[in-house]
Amino acid sequence: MKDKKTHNFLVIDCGTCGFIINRTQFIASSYIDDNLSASGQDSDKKIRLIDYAGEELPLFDLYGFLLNKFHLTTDTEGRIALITETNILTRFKNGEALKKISNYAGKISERYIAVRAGNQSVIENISLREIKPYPRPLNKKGKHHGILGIRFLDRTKIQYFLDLDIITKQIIGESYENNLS
Amino acid sequence: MNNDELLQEIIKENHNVENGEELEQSPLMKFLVFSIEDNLFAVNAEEIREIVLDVPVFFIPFVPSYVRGFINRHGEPYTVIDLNVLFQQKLLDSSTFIILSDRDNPAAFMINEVIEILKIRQTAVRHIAESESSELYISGSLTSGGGKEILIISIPEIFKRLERDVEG
Repeated sequence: MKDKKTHNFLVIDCGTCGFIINRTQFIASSYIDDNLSASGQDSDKKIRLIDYAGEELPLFDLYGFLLNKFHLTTDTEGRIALITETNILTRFKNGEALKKISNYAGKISERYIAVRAGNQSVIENISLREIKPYPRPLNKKGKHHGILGIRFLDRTKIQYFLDLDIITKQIIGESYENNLS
Repeated sequence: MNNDELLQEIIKENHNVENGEELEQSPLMKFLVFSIEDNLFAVNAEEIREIVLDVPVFFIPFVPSYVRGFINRHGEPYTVIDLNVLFQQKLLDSSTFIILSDRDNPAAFMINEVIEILKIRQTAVRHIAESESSELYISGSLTSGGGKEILIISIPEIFKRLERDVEG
């Protein structure tokens, strides 16, 4: 019998709902210290920075974005930072976002960014058969917003398969509109 | 054939004319009749796969308000459409669903209650003009045994609207 294909994903657990992200979409993770964990609740709403490989990385709030968009409440804090290698900031509005962050934060990485995830995040090897594509006719809209599929764990639990790159673009877009422009 | 037999045949023939001979001979259709708040609606029973009770609806973002989320049927996601939002602009509070049989568009309607399976002659279905159908999401109407008017949902029109809304 043919073996089931599996793949490594990051699973972010938020109670009855969760999110799965392709492990290859980030290169490392690190812990966000106390001062940084309150991202989004600080009076200074400008984007925070974390150190990685000798560079300063802007930290975008993936966890807050997901809780907000999916109408979730959880007591679990978000002190995990996922590091992604991307030129997304350089590309975003032809580098305007990068310039604006650099203007107040000094030199920042052009290769890496960081996104905040929930503390209950683990790497899991998941059978691809367990993930169902987003159903028609919502699939195009889902893809546009970075939601690629669904995984039901049991009768009461769902996980959304996310495209980290597209979701991050939306978070940068919102940050740009609210804080950077 | 004696006169009594002849008379019976005459009565039968006249009865057929009064009720419309075509009506007697037109094929039977089965409709699933259900309620949404105080209104009765029907869909062709062939368009329905199953009726599901008491399952949770999982919220999905970036969709129109009449898309209430997904339900899980045997591990597959089905898009839940709240017809009450389309018809009355009000969210329905229910955990009863009818799963549609179109496997290319896996979806379910949120309803209050299944009332009955109605068998009626095809000619008893009153169709409405296509132009009205697209605006109202209704393809016609029929009358229940109790004399109530029941609106027939046009499933293709609902999907056309959904496709417009999610692609626009």
